[in-house]
Amino acid sequence: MNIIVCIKQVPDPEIPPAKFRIDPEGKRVMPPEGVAPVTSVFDERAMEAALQLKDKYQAKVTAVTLGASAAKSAIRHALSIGADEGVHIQHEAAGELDSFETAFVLTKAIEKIGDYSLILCGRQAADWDAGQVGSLIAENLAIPVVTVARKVDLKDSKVRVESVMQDGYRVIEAPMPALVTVSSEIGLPRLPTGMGILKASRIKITNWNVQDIGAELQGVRRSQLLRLYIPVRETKCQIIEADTVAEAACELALCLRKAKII
Amino acid sequence: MEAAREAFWHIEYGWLIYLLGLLLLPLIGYTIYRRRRLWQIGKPEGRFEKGRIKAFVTGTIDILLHKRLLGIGAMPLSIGELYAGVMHLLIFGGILLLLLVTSLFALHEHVAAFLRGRPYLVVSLLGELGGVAVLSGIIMAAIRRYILRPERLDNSLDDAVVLISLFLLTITGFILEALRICATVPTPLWEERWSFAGFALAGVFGLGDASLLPWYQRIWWFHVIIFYGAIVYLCLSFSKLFHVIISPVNIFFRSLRPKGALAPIADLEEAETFGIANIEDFTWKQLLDLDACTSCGRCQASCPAYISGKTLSPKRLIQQMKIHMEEKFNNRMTIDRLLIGEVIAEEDIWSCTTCRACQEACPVFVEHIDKIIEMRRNLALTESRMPESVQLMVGNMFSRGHPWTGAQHMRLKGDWMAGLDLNILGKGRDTDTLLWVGCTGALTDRNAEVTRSLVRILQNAEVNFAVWGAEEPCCGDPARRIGFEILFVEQAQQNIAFFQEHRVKKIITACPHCFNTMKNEYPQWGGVFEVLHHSQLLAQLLSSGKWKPTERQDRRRVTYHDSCYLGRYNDIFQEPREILHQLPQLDVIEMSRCGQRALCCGGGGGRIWMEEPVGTKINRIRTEEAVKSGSEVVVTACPFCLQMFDEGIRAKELDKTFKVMDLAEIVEENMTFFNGHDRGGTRFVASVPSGHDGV
Repeated sequence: MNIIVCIKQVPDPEIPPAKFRIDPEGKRVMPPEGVAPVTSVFDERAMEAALQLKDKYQAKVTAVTLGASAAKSAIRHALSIGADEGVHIQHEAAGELDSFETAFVLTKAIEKIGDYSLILCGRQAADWDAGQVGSLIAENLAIPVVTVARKVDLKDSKVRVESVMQDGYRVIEAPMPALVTVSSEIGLPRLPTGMGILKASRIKITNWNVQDIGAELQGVRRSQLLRLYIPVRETKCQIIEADTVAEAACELALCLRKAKII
Repeated sequence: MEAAREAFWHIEYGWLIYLLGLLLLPLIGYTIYRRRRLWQIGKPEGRFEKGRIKAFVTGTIDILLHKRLLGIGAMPLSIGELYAGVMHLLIFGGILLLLLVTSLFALHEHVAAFLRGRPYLVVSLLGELGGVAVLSGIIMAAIRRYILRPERLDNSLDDAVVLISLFLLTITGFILEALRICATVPTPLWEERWSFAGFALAGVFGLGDASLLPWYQRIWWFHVIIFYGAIVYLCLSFSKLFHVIISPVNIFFRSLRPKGALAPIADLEEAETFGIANIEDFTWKQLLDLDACTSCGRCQASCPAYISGKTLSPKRLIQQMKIHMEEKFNNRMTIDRLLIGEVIAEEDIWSCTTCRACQEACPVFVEHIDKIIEMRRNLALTESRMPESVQLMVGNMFSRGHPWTGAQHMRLKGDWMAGLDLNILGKGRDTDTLLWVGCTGALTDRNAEVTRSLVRILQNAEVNFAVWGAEEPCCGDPARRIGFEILFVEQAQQNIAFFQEHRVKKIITACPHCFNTMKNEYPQWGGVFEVLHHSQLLAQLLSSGKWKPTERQDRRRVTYHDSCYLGRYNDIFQEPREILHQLPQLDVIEMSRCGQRALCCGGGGGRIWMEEPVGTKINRIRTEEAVKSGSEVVVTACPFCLQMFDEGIRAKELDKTFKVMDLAEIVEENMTFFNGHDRGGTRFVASVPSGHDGV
């Protein structure tokens, strides 16, 4: 069985919010100085889901990323934890593509890779949180999609997914090939072993650009970023004074009700 | 008549003792051979490198002087430890004297008769002193073992057998001497008084009583039987007294690597497994260690993990491994007890702070930490089994290039530089001196203040240096100490290449962990630089007048906490103290555990990133010790120690009366700035753009 995992490298979401900078004119996020980009957290979980299936059923796992040259390190890491092959679609302006363009390029790449039974994506990327690309790839490939998986397993040549709901989960089976987007409930991503790191350093990563896979981006974009800004958050503090604690508590409850919080 | 002694006086068949001795030699040889076969299941390791001859000589001197047992060349020992040291010296020195005297008598008898008159008396006195020393040592030992009962000792039958046989041997020696004096002369020669103890005892038995002669003969043989019986016992049971042979060998073959350098994994590129999961994968020297251990428990008594109630005891670790070595060998290597998990609990492997207190305390130079790191390497690299907090740290090093993560570290690596007018390496003026800040000095608020203090001092002293800036990565030490060698190697190689590319010759750092790794471990990858810890540099700058202490009104009592990687690992004990002593308004107090025996803060060996759910937190114990010393400020020279004390002080709600400062901070507070530099008394607040609450 061949599994393709789409991973995206994003600016480190763990940087202090105060350090988050944007360029409102260019409608761009400014990469923070001295902080290396990381693999999007949900994509790490998608990779983990693939490796869990590989552990159980023997599968070939291919990690695919679309990104600038730095994104190669994300593929290298995926290989060190157990992916068998890696494809890097190198596109320096990848950060400016919208979900449709990204899904389009990835679809072309997946088609070029060809033989696959399952495609796994993160439920959304940790930078823009759009959560579109997985479903759009499935749409492009005309295959079933199940989103927000907490568990992915196989059953009688079908993929059996536990999909997270607001207050529980539903179990969905889909014929393969299928696409599943994965959520954090799948489990912590594993760390590379020593052997894994050494093996990964010997695997050659396939390097494509958009022309190699015939991804003509003209006219693919279907969304437009109108304005990029950081919302201003204001904090106001009101101290409720009363003679006794009980009175103050009553006062507080009234205030909260007035503000429609309780 | 000249004073002399007749050999085998009134003893028939006395020559039998030589025959017995000859018969026992093969037994001793066989015992050594039997143990050597155990060590030989280990892997080869070259311990005949350059400097080994010198190690034999210094090792011999160490043994003769009891350097470690008496704490020579180190901070004074506690009374209890000194007692144990003196006790051992008495037994050791006494037996050595007795062996010498006996050998001289044998020479006198069979080779050349030279022990007459004065030489005889002197030798006789030496023997007397030896006997008295051994006897007092044994009494001290018995009091210690059975009355004082220090926690680090456990009592086995073997201990009692050894003590009793030594006691019987010495006491019968004295009785024999006394009986001889009684039986020989009605009014003894004044010369016999040189054998003062025997003479006194003779008075008790009744001088001039020839009827005691048969008793003399019986006890003589009893004395002989005990001596040879004890040797047979030692060999057959491999008693711990056998350490008189094994331990010196272990001391001669002690590690000559720099103390702070772990051994690299050989053939890392080709390796199939990493670290050690089977006892036979240790080297012969690591296995020799197991036999050299006498269970004295000095390691355990100094181990921060053990002291704070963790299950790790370095003594037990070594003893368990020894049992495992024996059982595995005796079962033709087929025993299926796992070294990691069954013989040694995984928890114990992770509890170690690599503080080296055990190895510094060990009188026979057992190498505990190397063994623990090898097992960590196996867990980290082969098994990929690490505590969750360690995984987080490693994951962070992979993705972010530094070990700190999470919401408590809301800074970027370059933040600390705000407003300091710094020279960035390769981008500003030319210099071959790099101030290496380290991850903790750059990322955690409290330590960023230290970094800024240090920068201001260096700038004031007009030191020409550069910093790497926001891109400065990790030195690799955290990865190496938790066993993730590959990550360390990658990081070290990258850093070395960068230093060489920018022609860095000298590296200054305030972090003893970075300092140790760069100084002692980077040379393993060809990176040889002059590495200075800021305490060394500040001491140099002080003595060359580049900064001057200032007079202040308020006096303060301070104590200095030795960082393990600065002190025990790199022998930097004096420089920080010299600086503190030269600051006129400080009264420097020492904690009860200081210098070579300082208690770890709990943060080394990757522990600063790990949870500490079992027992008391080590940093709180150390904080208490610092407070107990009567000081108001504990001064450290390590960012981890600073963090650990900071946490300890806050957890104990002592922040009103007690505080922790780095050496650089206390220097900055007590120095005169030459050129009107801003002392920068304001606390470190990096530029936070308005409109954000930073949450």
